[in-house]
Amino acid sequence: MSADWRSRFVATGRWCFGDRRGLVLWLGLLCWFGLTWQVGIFINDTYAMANTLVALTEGQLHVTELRYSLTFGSQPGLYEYQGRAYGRNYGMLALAVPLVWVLEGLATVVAPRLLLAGLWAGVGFVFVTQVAEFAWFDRSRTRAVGSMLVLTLFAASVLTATALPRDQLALVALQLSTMLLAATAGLVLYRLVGRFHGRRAGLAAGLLLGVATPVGFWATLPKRHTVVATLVLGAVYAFAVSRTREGDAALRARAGAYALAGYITWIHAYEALFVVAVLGAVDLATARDRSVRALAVLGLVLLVASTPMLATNYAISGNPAQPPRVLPGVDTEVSPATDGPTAGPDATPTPGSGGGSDPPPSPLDVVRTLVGTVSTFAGRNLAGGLAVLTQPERLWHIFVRSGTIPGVSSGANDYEPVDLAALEAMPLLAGLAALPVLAARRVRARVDETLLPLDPRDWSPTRQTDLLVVSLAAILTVVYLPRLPIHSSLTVRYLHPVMALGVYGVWRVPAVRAAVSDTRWAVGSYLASVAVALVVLLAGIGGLGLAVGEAVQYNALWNLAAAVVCGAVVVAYTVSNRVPDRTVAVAVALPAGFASAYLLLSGLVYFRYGSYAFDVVRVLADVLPAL
Amino acid sequence: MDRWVTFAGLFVVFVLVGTGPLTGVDVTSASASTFGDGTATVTDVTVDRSGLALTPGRFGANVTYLRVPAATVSVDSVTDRPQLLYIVSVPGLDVRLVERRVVTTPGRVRLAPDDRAIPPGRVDGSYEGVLTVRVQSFTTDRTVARTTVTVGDGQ
Repeated sequence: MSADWRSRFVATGRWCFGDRRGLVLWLGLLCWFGLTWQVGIFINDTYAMANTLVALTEGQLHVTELRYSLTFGSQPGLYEYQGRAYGRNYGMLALAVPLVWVLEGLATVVAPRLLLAGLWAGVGFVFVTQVAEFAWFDRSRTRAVGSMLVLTLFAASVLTATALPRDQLALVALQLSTMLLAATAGLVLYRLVGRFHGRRAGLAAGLLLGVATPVGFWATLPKRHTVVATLVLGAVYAFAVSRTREGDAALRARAGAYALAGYITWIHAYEALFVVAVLGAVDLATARDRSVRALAVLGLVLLVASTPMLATNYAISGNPAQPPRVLPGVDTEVSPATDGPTAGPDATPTPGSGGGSDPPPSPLDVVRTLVGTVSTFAGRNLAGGLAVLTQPERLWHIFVRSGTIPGVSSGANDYEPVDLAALEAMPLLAGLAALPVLAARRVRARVDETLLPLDPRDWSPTRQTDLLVVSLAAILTVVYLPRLPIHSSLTVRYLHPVMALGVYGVWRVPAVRAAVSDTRWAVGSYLASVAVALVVLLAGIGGLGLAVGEAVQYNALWNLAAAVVCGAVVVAYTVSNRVPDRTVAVAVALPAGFASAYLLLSGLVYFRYGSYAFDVVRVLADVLPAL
Repeated sequence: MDRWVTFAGLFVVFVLVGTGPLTGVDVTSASASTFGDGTATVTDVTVDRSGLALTPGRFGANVTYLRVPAATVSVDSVTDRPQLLYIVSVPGLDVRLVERRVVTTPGRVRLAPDDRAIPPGRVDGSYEGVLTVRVQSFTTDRTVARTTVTVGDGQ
């Protein structure tokens, strides 16, 4: 009986994490995010989210209590219908609701601050026991040393603990939910890349997603971007699985992809629209099974996955096709979208669909609203995005170099240029520099007797997945271009899902995979790179007396320099076969190290806004040079 | 489960429950920014007045920065939880920076506000700046040092 229970437990674990490495990666990323976790509100949009979450835990969709702000005025992202204020991203908040209940339940026996330390220690213990199982560690010694280390950190956190008010627990749960999802994004990427290129490349990809990309930056800052990025990766993974399976197993995986994409509608209908459209198009173009039965199953799954969104919209405005985001914003003395510092640029302009007390709409009206909304937003933004592609200077500021961007950031963030361009925020993207070379090679190969069949249905699972990733990345980039560059985006956060997909792209480049052919050398290069980056950056902060905007830009320039080295070496490796693997390892480790240093210093030096979840980190941060 | 992990885990649970609401033992201290009653005796305040300056941003930050000198405050004695305030005010530039620190023990306290970015084109001429250090609590509020500095072109 107990053996049966145990094997079921192991089977569930395998289904979730794939193998022990997956579990260790997931736990490790959680610990890493915890290191710079500050309980507090970094970006204005979070006020409305946290207040709406409080309402949800009490069974209400509309904001009933302003626990995290004094007035309505300071909260962009609240929408009004018949005198009630509603939040947005309900699908994301729903995931945090059980966490609020669990934390508040535990807080009846444990003080909130120690609860966090205890949970961190718990994750640490499981991490240690799992790591100890790997063949290259001495099991009992690893357990002894590891558990003592965790215990020391726990004791230090307890001895330095400051009070955490219990009413902060909903915010804590919200932050915890995005941390869990960001760690899950790393896990999914591990399984995706691991499926095509082996576990070592997969592990490196998943790890770097958490420690060296904006996914790590936003893990503790509860915005929708993390959730959408994770769901998009999940959909791509399910798609990839479906292409390597046959029959019903393949159909189940495809249904999984549609379910994940459909769930995005509950978080951000606009992004979901494009994800579902691209997934549908690529799936139908590449699927072997296009039977009526398959299409019916997929359509039904999509409908079921969108039901929470439709039901929420219906409960709010009586119109299932009208998400809160298109309702008028809550009327306040301060217009949140324009005046407030770090005001949410998310405050989407309303397409003139007034709230008021309309009678319940007929199904025809629903369809009309849907078509109207889609054509207004999607059509306009697609056209606008393509137009931006003809403006090189603007593209330069979005993708390569930020600095003080003319026309952006005036007023918001106190004029500090803290919004990075994509490559600055994620210098690892330089690995994609080899793509044109690889593409040219492929075209040439095709001219001398084809390698790639013309019908996408005959492509390999890898190629089909590539097609989905490229299509998703292209569409999700283009539709946001009309709004970029924009203030308060910090890491071009609108392109967050694209960046997560970008890591997949980077690890599809053979040169980048060569970087991990010698594991010890790769790990050593990365750690050395982080150390160098920290020394260089901290010396700059301490020695040059930098202001926050200057410090972020100083970091950004180093990131760009690392990206240039990485791009050059990756291209050199691709065109010639004389570049040794170890050189590539150093070249890839360099941008990864600087990006990790950016994440660490963002949490410990650049942006200090809340109380550190673990006070031992506060003590450490206080000895670092301050701005 | 190895005995090390079991032992450490049990210890953690013991500490968590032992310091929780059930026992009433509270090991958490007030957050470092919570101030209360009481007062502090300040014997000396040092500010490098020439440190207040307007200089261009570096590394692509195309703004002018108001650079603010740190204030070093020597505190002789403290009762309860008062706070020290260091206020840098340049009304002509709409700038008022406040750096606060709760003091609980005597010693030297360094208050260093972040530099403040001024949008390009905003700075024109020279401005009067006022640097003030105050001791504040629920029962007292007094200025212990005040100086004025001219910053900008006419420096």
